[in-house]
Amino acid sequence: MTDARDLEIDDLINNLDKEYYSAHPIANSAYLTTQKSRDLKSLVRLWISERTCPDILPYAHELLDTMLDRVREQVEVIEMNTTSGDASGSAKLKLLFVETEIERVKFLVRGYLRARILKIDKYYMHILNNPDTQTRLSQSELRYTKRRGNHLKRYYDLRFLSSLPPSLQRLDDTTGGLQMVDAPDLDEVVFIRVLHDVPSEVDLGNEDKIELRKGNIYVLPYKVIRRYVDNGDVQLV
Amino acid sequence: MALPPKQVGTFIPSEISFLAENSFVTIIPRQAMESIALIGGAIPSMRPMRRIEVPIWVAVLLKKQSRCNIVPPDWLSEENLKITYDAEAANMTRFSANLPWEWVEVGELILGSAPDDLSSPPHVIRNLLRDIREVRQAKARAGLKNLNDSYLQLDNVGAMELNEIRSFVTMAMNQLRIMQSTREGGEQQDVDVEPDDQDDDDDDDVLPRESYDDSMRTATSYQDSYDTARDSSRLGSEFTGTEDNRASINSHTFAEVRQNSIQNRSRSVLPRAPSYTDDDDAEDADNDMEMDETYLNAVNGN
Repeated sequence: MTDARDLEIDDLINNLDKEYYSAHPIANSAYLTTQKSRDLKSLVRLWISERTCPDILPYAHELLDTMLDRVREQVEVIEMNTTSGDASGSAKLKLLFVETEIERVKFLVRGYLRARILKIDKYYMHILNNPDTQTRLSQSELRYTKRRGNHLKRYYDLRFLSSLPPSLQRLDDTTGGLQMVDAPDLDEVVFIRVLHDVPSEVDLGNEDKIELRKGNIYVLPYKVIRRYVDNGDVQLV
Repeated sequence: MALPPKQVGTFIPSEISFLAENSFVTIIPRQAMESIALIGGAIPSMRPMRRIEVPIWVAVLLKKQSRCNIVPPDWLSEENLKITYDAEAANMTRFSANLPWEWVEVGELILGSAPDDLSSPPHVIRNLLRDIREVRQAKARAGLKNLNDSYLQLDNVGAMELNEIRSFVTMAMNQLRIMQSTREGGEQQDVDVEPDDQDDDDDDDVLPRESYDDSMRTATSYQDSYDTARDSSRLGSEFTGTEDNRASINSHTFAEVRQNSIQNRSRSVLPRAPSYTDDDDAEDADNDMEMDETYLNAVNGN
């Protein structure tokens, strides 16, 4: 009886010790953990927003750099572990989780960039004509846009534009009120979820007014909701 | 390497499922494991029988290797699902708030990976989930009758359910909006209708509204909106007429209509001859069509 209780107490003390020791470095590591999970959540949100928003959103330099750095760190962890030759079951299992997560994060980053390239391909002329939109691109995206613009222009010139009358050779003609340049249509509807109550009613422009209460899900033109997306009161879904 | 066409304007179901895998679930580990540092935070250290919360994808991996049991969320119990079903059936105009945002995906993931951890036989849970899903789908379809060009409210809809109607709703509402502005333009001729630009002063660089107003002036774009209207009405009948595989039908017809509108747009966007920049609109439009044909041929290399 006493033995059994002693054992239990020993176990408890051991556990406490373990908890203490694992908790001690965690004084900052817990912070790091929440920070890390917050970053991952931001990346997920970023991916969803870029996929659902009709406009090109500002490139998230810092977050992307951080996430790619962490992917690199994790790849190093894998390399360290595989070269050290520790082939025990638990080490393998650990690597399985690390590898799976790397792939998941890479999937998000790739999806994010590809969604942007899609919009860049579509609106390159609009981007090249608007310095304001250009600030939303990363360096390499901007380089890509410019080169794409040049190549296409040269190709069109070579194939058929050169044989047209000079007045018809422009690719960004606006005569007659028709825009040749495709630009993002901010009137397109988006699906949103409200995160915080918005005190004032939102005017939809055509006598309709709606209230944004936490948890509401709406389909609205992006234009009327954009400012609430930007300040974080609502999120695109 | 832009986004593949089937993923444009919508998510594919596996992507929605992927997102749901990031949400957390409680597990009961069967064996000890050290904490693992990951990019999105650490998996806490595990001790047998001590409950911890981990992302679902971790839980599924552990479960596959029989290293843990998954504790199904409360809403996924037989009892609660029955309550939810009754609540859904009782009110045919609203979605009940009993289910979480990712209920379809989480339900499927847990049923698929840990059927033995459920409190009731898996087929009972599966049937209940299916019943609830069908009731809610019926509501979503009924709700689509009220589609208008201004807004749509879908409180308590799930992520997967939302995604299923996404491409249809987006397309229909955008087309309704274009038709609405065409009608306004038809009534008021060349007067620019800009009712909602006063309060949004930050969108000076936005041209959609103007461009619609402008495009109304040519007969070609009347033709365009007629085509798209016809397409969308056909889409509507197909949509309500088909029970299964709605998502795929949706994206298919969506792609079709999309392609149509792209073709139409590229036609009206092609260069115009300099001589008819103003004056008689109808005649211009006719010329336009002819010119466009020629240009199209030129572009196609004929």
